[in-house]
Amino acid sequence: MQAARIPHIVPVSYDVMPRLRLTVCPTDRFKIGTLSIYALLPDSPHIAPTATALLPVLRRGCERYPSQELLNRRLDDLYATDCHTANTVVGNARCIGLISEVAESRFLPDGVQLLPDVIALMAQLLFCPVTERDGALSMRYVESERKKLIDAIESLVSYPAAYAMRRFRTLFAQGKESGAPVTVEQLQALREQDLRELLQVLRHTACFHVFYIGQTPPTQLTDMLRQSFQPYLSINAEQAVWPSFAPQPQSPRTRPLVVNEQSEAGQSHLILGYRTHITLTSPDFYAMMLCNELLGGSPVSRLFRYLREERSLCYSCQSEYSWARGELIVSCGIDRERRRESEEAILSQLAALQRGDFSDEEMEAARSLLVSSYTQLTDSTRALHAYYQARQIVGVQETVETCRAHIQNVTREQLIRAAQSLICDTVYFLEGGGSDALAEEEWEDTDDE
Amino acid sequence: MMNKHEPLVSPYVLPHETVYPCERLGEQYIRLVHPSGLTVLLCPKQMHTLSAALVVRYGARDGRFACGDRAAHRYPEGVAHYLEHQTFTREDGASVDGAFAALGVDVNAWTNYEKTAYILNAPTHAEQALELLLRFVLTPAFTEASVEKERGIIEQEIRMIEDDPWEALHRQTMRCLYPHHYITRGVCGSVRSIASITPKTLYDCHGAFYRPENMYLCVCGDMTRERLVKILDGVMPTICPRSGDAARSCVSGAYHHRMPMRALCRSYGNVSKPIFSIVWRDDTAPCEPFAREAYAARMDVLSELLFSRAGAFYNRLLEKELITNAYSYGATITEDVAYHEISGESDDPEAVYRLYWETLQQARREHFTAVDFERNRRVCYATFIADFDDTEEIADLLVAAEGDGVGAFDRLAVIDTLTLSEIDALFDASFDRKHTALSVLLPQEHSAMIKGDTTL
Repeated sequence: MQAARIPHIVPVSYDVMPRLRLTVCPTDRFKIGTLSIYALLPDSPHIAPTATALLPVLRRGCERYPSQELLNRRLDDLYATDCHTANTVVGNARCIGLISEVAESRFLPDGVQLLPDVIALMAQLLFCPVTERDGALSMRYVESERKKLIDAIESLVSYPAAYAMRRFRTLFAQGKESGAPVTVEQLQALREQDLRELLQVLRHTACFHVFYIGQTPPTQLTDMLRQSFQPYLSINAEQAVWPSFAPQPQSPRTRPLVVNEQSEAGQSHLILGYRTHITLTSPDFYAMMLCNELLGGSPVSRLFRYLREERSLCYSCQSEYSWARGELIVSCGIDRERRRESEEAILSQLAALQRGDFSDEEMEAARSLLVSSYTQLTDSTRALHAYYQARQIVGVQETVETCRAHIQNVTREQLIRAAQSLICDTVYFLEGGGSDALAEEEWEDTDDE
Repeated sequence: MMNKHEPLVSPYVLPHETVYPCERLGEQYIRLVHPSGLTVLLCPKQMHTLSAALVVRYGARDGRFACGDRAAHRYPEGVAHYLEHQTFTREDGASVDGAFAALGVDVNAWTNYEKTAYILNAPTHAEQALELLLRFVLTPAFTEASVEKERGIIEQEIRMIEDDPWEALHRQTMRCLYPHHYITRGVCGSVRSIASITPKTLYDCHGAFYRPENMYLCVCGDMTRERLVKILDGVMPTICPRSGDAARSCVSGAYHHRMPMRALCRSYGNVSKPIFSIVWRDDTAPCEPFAREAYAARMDVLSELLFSRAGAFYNRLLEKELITNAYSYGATITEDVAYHEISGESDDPEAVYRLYWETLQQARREHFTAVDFERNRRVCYATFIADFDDTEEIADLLVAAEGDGVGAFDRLAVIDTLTLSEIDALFDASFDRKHTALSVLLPQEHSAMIKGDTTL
């Protein structure tokens, strides 16, 4: 293997302060480094909309750069450093914070090191928001960002595939503690005080992870972090408690929920949601990863080949496995007249895997692609960040290389067992207008001579 | 950085072989013409993934062409894209995807107006994958059954695109700017136009355009020039030369500049809120490739100065709550079209349009400062270098540069030497009212209604 000459990237963690832990993936392979800081809090139906509303308010401005214009100018001065908000759920943990992509100094004309300024700015954004005289968050920003979030949700109806997936996720999460997309009603009901209370949690009790991929030595990073975060994270330092989190598989419904709705779009969208007890910490995790790859994870998968290549039912049909909650979602865009045919085809392909009705050649092709996707991951700071951050949250110490080795060892029996663990929970169909909805455009012939 | 690479130039130097270094980025690439006629660009890089793109200079604009002594013939709209889909099918009807998957390599393709590209990402078995890529693209195998089967798949792709309101807005905007131009048409064709495509259509077009001298290969990753040339030496003689005549495309889009344009286009679509595009047709962009690249670099800096999220225009929209998070801006400058576009989602696109003119007038009165200029030049520099962390992005850059007839590092040289007076001069000659249009897609009544039933 030619690539063996490239050194592996192995993360190392450091306790910088009682409430701040740093993990570094040291590497000089990239021109742009990635730096994130996030707090981990137990997820709940309340925290999801609150965090969703708070983060864009924080990103709107801070004491030193109190408007979006001044803040974005500052980021542009720092060679277009990207700084966006992060609000994700991993198992029962909600991660709230900021993520930045920062140019390495050796590639800049003036050789300037950007990280100290970027870290200082991140601290400002998290802990020094723009406030009213009474200490409340800027009402103008709270209302403006609320409106933008609501607009974004309402405009989804214009994008049938995205609308269908959001609607599906809402139905899939019905009756569960978390996992449902934030609603317009939840955002409307939020008070400024709710946002401020969450901010107080970040200031007074939350523990923060900093994750960095790049060439700056950990000792320098540690100094930069202490300098910028000490004033804010020294509060309650002696009572710091690092919470532990775990994946949270959800139990399936006893009978699948089936929902049919109509839209005015030309194409229809069919989405099937399955649940499994298998998560990242399960013995059959890699078998489930391989099962997903074989079912609908690639152009040689069962769904892609059978629904698209053999039956011409769709342009694409794919499955996606989420280990944090033990979910597998199959989705495709189809003609409304072919809904039954498509659904039966999806069910039959999963049934084939559950029976073990697949060839060794298919399984090896899926394995080969899955292993390759993990190799590719090591060429991207963003992908490396996502990989190691998620594992760090649930306390799994596993390098990409170990992960690849596990996939190589998955047996046919393990894969069948993983497929058999999938139980259908929700079926959503957004019916479009089909061929009638698409007005054929008459193209004028150009005079190209 | 550069000394990490093996030497690019070996004793076996092919004609027209050139090395393009960029000391600042620690990158370099070589461009050579293989004896088969295939142009090759190689950027060696120590990464796990090798990315490659095999490009055919044949796209949706080449709907009418002549071969040899034969008169020009018009082919159905969407045939270049259909050909891209069908190229993945082998003689036995199976897809080549399986052969790539067995190597752990993912393969894909895209078609635009000017070209068709077949791309792969190979974290392993890179040499076998490159050989397979060349073989399958240059060895067509179209049957009645496979062409028929693909029609349904492409119909679904067309429906997916038709459901995208931004695509509808873009087509409408282009009709404002360039009436009757090929850019107003979809790359995939329509359900009706693709209905007449047959295996013969595809063989005709493949034979006319899929020829090494009309193609180029861009590679980035852990690959030496010697190994790459060896692969080509082994593969190309077995799949070349081709019989028949090369195509002479009868398309020219450039003459559409100076045609009358419409200042306002409005229509209704499946949107919950109006989406808009403010677009300025740039009839002054140069035609010569390097001059065009330099011009595009200057236009990028000017666009950042005027319309970025750090600029006055966007922040006034934000303060007045005239814009949602959907906002974008930028220039498109090709050999056939040149325009600058701002698009977004707003309750009041006409107010946005008014503010656009107010902002431009104010900027003309006040002039750009040296600090603003330097900041936005930094943005363009940082955006450029960010692409050099990823083998696929670098291969894409090589594809674009070779297609445009320029070097991949030319833009960096322009950004380095830009001056504020050049930007001022460009601004003076840009964004006139006569060549500006507002294009809006308004919500249809009841379009947001979703009806349904639930069973448990």
